[in-house]
Amino acid sequence: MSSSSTRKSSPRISRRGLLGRGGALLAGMPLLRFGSGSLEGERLFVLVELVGGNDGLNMIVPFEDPAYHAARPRLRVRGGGLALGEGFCLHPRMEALLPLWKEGEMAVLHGVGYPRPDRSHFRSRDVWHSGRPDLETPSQGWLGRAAAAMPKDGSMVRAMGLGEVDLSLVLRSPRLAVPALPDLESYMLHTDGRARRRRDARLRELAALQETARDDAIGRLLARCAREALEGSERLREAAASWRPKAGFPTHAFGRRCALASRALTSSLVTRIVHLRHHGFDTHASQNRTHGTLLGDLATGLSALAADLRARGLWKRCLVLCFSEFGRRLAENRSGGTDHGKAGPVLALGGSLKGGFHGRATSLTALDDGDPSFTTDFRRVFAEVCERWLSVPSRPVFRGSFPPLNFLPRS
Amino acid sequence: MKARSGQATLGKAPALGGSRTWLRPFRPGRDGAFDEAAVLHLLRRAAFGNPPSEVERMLRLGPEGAARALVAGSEPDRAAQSLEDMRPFVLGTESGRDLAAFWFARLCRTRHPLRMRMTLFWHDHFATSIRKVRNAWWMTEQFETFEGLGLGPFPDLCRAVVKGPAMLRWLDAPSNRKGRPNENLGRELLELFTLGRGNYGERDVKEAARALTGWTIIKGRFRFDRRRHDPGVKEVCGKQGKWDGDALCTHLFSLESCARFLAGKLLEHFVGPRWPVEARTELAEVLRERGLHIGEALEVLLASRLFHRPEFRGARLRGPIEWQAWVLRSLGARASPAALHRSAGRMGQRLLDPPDVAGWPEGEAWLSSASWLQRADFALCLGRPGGPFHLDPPLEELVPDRGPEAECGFLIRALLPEGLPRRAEEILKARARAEARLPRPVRLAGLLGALLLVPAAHRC
Repeated sequence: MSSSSTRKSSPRISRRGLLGRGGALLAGMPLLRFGSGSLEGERLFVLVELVGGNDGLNMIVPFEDPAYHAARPRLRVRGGGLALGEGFCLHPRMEALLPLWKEGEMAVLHGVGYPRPDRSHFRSRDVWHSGRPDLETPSQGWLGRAAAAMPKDGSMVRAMGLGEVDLSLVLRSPRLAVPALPDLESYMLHTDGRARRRRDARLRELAALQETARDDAIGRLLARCAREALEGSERLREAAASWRPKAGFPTHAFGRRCALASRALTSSLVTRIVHLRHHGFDTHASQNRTHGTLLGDLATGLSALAADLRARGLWKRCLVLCFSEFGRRLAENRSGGTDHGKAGPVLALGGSLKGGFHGRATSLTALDDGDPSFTTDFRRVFAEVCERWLSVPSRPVFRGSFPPLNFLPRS
Repeated sequence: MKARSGQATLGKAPALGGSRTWLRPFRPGRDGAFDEAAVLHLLRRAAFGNPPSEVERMLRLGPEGAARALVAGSEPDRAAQSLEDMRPFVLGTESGRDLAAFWFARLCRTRHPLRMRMTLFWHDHFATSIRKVRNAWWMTEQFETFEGLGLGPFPDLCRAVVKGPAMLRWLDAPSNRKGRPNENLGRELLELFTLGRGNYGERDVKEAARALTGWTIIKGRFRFDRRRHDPGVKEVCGKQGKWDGDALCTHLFSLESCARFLAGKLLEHFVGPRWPVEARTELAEVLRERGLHIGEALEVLLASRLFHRPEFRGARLRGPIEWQAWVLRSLGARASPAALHRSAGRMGQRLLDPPDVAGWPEGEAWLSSASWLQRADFALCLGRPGGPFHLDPPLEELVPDRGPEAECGFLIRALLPEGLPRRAEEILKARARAEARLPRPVRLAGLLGALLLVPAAHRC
């Protein structure tokens, strides 16, 4: 909105990054805002949304609790070999994550939810995304607000929604343009030239046309946005073309999204924050068949992402958080599924978090209308991410202060 | 809902008080020339930029006649009856996709572009989102209200909109009951619909909410439920009465701040961000004299000295839908409505899904590097053979086949008839020559794309 920040040239910006093809192409144009700073030392954040309401009780299974087995004669998961300790085990299909747990690079945050829970997907999603249960129809997301408050870095866009077309509420902020991209190619200019020489000529023309903008506020804004877009898109093309996976990403939909996340996070200067969705968790019927597959895909996708980032020496700087809009009821229903419930566990992965269990596990005997009730306000988790991982004050984001769970190191 | 009250008075030339300066009628000669450039400016602002044939007609009509013709529109407008045709498609659906696509189709075809423009204007003013309403038919009814009443007296429009089921649900009217007030509708009625910030206090909001108790939705229709209504005395903005919602509205419409608020919004939209403050006082006066009749006020505004001041030409940034409509109507072509809707959403203006109750951010907030890329995507894909937009007729039929440079000249005249900066024209012509050997459809699509990305193409 204000164009005051537009011409600022920060001392961090050098010509180095402009020596690439994108730079040479647009040589002679004024330096751009995202310049060539590096993301060295910056932290990466991946927020994974398990869409539909994940049955947390069958993911982090309280297998020593008789109440669990009693309520789920058909759906219960038997202990298997994936014991986590403290009476919990991991769903057997999630074996791929066990090494991370053993290394202390996986944390389970128990019973996360929000006060006066609502069993509507939409309402519950609005609450989790906005971080503002007090608002009836929130229009901004906590991560969007946090990203907008972060100091400028070298990234091209501060955050992006990947593998989706509609921008998720969690990333919305009036002060920040966050793209939602089905793939990285959609942040590239689709010039009609396939052949490189022709495309270069077209881009040069587009760049030159911007020089004809009128010299007033709107004209300058138009020219600046166009130049940023042209250079950014070229830079992304280079980055995307040179990216190679450092781990074998699975070929299922979620695995492909994880590969996409790595591409966006590790191609220099693209982004630091990614939101991914994993669909299909609304398991009202025949849950045994579907839920295991979903959890298996989740585990293999994330373990590949971890391996890929580790091989690049970035895993220490990365945090992955998996949440869902609600958990499910304790008792299974008559269709071999579970219905909408309330609280559920949040899964955190990363090379420098404090692994293990955090928070208090929900009781399976003191139920809230048939649901395990929440023990940890979700804003405590997200506020800790803001404060300790993104270095953004959480109070303005959530309109209140929420004590940390201490699953992240003090920064 | 279809009633077009106030239309009987539309034909008359507006008589003006002598004290006005900004809104005095534009007199060709004394105030400047009413030439092609002036008509183009008028068409860009009050329509979406129209085919060249319109320019001749407007020149003949003169400034006041042209403004009147734009407000009245050309009948019969085939598109006008067709919202009712939507009914079977949207009944029972929660997604606005079909309605939006339908509306985009009409945007390209309508013979009353100012009315479509005002529909968009009121959709922003009364911003309601299908994400909460979740009833496509109710949203269709709201659009029908915008179209039917958007150029008539504001009191009729505003009443019909706030009593429509879409708005009642959007702002939680049914849960606003005696003794258990929900201030949502009351607050927005004062802040966003009639008076504007700073013209009321928190107490007024509470009292307005009391007056609105009892408004609810029964079987998809507005219903006043006496048992839920608080019949006591309320005091809103300095006046007392045993008001219900209707009486409250009547009171609000009578306030000077209401006319001023509307005047400001109209000036912002039609004159641009740097409208002079005194002009608001004058336009508010016009509105009050004419019972807040929007069409009549627009006739005055669009034929005024203020409107035709040269410094306001090109002073606005086109919003995404306005930009698309300008391109298609200037070319005299249609395109896939669903693709247009998706593309407008990516550029930041998703029809039926405004970011919040305050509508879309205006002006420069439309633009960022990400949204520019989306504009570039639209520009470069629009004419592409096999692309998502299915331009109809295709470019190779629209543009006469007289060689690359002539093609370039044709597109410039169609889209930016007042011309381009010389440097821009040279670049485009050089491009056309360099690509002369490419297949015509490909060459034309690329040329159109480049032309749409000239900075001047985003201003109006």
